[in-house]
Amino acid sequence: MKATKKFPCPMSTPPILKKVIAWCTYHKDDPPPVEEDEYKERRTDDIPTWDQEFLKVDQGTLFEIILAANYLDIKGLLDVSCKTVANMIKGKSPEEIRKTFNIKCDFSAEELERVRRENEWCEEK
Amino acid sequence: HLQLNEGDCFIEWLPDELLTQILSELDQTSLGRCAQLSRRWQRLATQPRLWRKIRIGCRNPGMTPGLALCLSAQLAGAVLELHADRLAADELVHLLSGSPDLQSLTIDGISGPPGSESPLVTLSRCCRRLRSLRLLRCGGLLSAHSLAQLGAGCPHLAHLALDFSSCASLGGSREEFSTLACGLESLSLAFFSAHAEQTVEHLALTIPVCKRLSRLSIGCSRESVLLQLLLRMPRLADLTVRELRFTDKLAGQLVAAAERSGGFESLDFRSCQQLTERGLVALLSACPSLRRLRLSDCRALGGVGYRLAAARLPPGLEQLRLTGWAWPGLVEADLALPLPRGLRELELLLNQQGSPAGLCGLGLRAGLAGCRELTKLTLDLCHSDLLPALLTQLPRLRCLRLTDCRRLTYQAWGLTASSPDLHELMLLQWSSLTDEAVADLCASPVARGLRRLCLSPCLQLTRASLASIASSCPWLTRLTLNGCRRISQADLQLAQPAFEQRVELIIGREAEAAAQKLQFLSDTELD
Repeated sequence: MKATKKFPCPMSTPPILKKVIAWCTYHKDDPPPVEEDEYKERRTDDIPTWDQEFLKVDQGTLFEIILAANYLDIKGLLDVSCKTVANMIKGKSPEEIRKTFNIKCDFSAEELERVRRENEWCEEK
Repeated sequence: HLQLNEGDCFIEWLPDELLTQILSELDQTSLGRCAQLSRRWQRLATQPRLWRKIRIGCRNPGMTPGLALCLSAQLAGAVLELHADRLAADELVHLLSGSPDLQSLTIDGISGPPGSESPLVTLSRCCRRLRSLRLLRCGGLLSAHSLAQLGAGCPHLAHLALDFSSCASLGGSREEFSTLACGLESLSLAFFSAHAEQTVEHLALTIPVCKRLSRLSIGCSRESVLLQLLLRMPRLADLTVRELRFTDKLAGQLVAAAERSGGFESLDFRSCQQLTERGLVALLSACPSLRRLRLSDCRALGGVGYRLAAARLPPGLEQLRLTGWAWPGLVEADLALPLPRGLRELELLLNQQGSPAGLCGLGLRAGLAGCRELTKLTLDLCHSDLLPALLTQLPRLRCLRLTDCRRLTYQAWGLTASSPDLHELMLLQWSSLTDEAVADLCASPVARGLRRLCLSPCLQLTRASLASIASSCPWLTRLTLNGCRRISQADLQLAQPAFEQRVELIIGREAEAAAQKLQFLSDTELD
């Protein structure tokens, strides 16, 4: 992908663009991503090690990369960074997830209990 | 990822569609937990499009009678794939009534008294788009009536799989089953008891020609049954046979079938004790478009068989699995014969007798020279010169399992100059496994990307190994150490914080148990 034109990119700063370009440069010879069957088995445990190390950044940077990849329509980078966030969620309890991302819980105590019971069936052993 | 400052919440920057994309990568359990985070997350995590595929049943806690009823309201008919674990019959009926777009259903057992309507009848009434049905541990669910309804109500049914308890009730439903079978593309049946054998023999004789059937998986022990079925399945391309002894005569019949249908794409035979080179060669010659081949328990093939087979494997072959108790006369030069260039997965368990003068697999350096697409390799041959060669030659390798590492020494790691991005490594029967050997492994380039590591036997390993692994494998999520004497569960708990990721730390039993597990893994993966 060669940058031959100037383009505006809201919500992106030069460091983020540098990261995005570095990813694209490394992956420039990749075959085009296969159009995935929407209902195929989703896996998040097969991200290449280079990408995992590349995305080992602070959360602010990670989410800016997601926004930039979305805006610039770079499917490969968007997929791998969304999978990275998914891996940060998997295996954690709701309280641990909230703590990881500083998500504010706006349920009342009763609502929280109700929503917990409603979703208890999802747990797979 | 670095600790966030108070008040920083970057994930909420994302607009709904990007958060939804992240949620779409999650499994059912994680999605259910995300629905509890906050109002926004509840709204996004409960979007029906994220719940196309669900698994409900007695394995899930909180599964009280009546909950399935609430669920069907929540899921709002979005479900495409349902796996029901021992649901009560009436709950299942209710779920099915609310899932008009259902494409795939697995019923793994039914609990409770039968309701007013059989779930299969509900299926035929409500789920007209059904394409795939699997029945496990559902003896009694099938009847002539329900089969007839299914045939009439689900015209798109293309895949049917019945385990042995479900097959047992086919006896009285031959005609209805035959009608159903002629529309199928894929059929899986398992018969184990002598009584069931008679049933399947009758079925094989009465079933009409199934013009659309391309995939058959069958467990039965009568050759006549399979031969009858083959005659009625002119388009068969994918055949899996358990139980039945694969003989040269059967191979000849398959050659005839291959000539009628244009050849097989996938062949899987689990009992090849009587197969000789002649049968194998005839079969391979008749199947130029073969993509997957699995032959288990080959005893009569030997070195000659391997040579003849290797020369005739079709170039498009992607998966090859050859196992046997012994391959008499096999030598290194045989292994040097080049294997197909398109191979993605290879499993060779050739040395199970484990004779000390046996092969070490060095011939495979030449044998695998052209196989640059290989991603998964399982061998029971190993040598300190073989390992580095494999790691250099196979740039796409992601999973390496060596089940007999008695000839592996620490020098192998020193010789390993480069490594592919290996995610899974399993080294069994590594008799010289010590803390130093683990340190050498960790210092080599192989360790960097590992997600799953399994070592055996770990008799001499101490906590020092845990520390080496923790510091060299930043992406590790599962560590299995079989046969530990000097590492306890408590040691594992203490070591957890040293690992970068949340790691599943397992102390397993001895190497033999691990090897059995490997066999089990191989068996279930293909199914």
